[in-house]
Amino acid sequence: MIRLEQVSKFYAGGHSPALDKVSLIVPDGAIYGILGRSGAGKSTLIRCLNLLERPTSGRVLIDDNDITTLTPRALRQQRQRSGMIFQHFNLLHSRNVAANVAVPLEIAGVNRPQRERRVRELLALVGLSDKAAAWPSQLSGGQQQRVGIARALAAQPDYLLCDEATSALDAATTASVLELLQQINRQFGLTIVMITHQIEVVKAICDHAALLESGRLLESGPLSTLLRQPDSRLRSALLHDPLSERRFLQRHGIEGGTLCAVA
Amino acid sequence: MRGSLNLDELWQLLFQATLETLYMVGMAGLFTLAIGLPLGVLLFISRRGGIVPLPRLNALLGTVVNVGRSLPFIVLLIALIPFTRLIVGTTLGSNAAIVPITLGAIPFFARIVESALDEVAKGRIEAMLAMGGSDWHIVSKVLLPEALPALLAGITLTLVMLIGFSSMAGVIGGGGLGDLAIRYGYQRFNQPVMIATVVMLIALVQAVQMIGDRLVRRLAHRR
Repeated sequence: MIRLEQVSKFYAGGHSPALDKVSLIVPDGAIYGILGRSGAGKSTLIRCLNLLERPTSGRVLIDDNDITTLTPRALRQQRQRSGMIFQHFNLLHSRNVAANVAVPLEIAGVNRPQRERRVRELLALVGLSDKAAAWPSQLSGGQQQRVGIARALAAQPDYLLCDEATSALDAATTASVLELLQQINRQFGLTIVMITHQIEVVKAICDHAALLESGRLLESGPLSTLLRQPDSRLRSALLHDPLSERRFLQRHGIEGGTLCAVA
Repeated sequence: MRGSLNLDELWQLLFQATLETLYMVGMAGLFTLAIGLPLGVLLFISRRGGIVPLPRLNALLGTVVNVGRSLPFIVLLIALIPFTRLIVGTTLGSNAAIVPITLGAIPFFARIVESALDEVAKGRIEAMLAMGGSDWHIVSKVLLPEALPALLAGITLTLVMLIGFSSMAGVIGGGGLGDLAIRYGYQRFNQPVMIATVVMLIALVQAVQMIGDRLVRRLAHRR
């Protein structure tokens, strides 16, 4: 379980906090989508979960262990327990696909035969067994993200952090990557936290969601609860939006009355 | 003509001088790499907001490097004579020339390394941190391998510069092609030696540049 308690982050020179007393609970096994526009503080928030960003105040508890108090060495070990994937994949271009997936295993000190076995398993899992010797630059965006996922899972983490993982991908590729994430969540009981500005991502696979705006968490919780709250903004964002559709039609010269006739 | 040589003697001189130049450039190149590479890495990682931020050390190293780079090499060459005597025991010959050549090239090369590392996408460093990588992992698995093509291009550039430096070392009797040009071309007005020296220097620089370019291209090809 991940628990954020009153997490705030101020940047030097910024007039408003990037995160303003954010409290959040991510239960084990959840796929938690944190939705927000650019500049809402999403990137900062997800980076607080592995301390790529250190909160100015507040606590970040992972399995009841406050990671802000860890020594550098203990923090590095903690980070091996949570994989991360990125919008721009961040693969190492000096290594081929198999060697990229092996990086976390090298860090963990796994010996070569075991590394090779595990890399084979992972590439099979993400459907890239035939690309082991390819270079990242030879892969499509979707394939690169699959390598990123394989790499993130290499050290068998309990958590997977997704930083706008599908934002650089087209719709079809996004769907297949999301499907893979869901499969991993079910198969390994991996807890997934994803930040995104795409409501479709939340719709497709999340079971929990939160809405972040100007550094503040406006809503959060299981979708089964949020969808029952009539005033929930996430609910109205997730569901059919008649107002914007009517405006869309109006912009193209189709008035409400005509619409009814057409429909 | 005074001091004229037959072809055999000319070849002999040229061959000897080329070997000395290659020796100086090779040794100075190795020392420059051995000292300049870690220095460049340190300059990069110790920046404010870097991987191991040490702003004071960074400012100090930056100043030393800039001082080294702002002295014209010919001045450095002469200013370092006492230091060379201390280290090598003599100030004449190729071994003695290696000291000022190396010291002249290190600051230059360190800055090249620093800017090559700066080109590595920050996200890749972040990914290594997220995987639990240590500072050493970042340097050895991300920064240096990812910057390798740029580093090789920088090494090529530095080698070409070292050829130039080693020639200037001829002024203080350093041996090599520069020495030959001064003793025969300048002091004895021997034009064939002068021309042969110039041709040989051009050939050396061309060869270094070509090999360097080829290596860089081969590496960049697969990325």
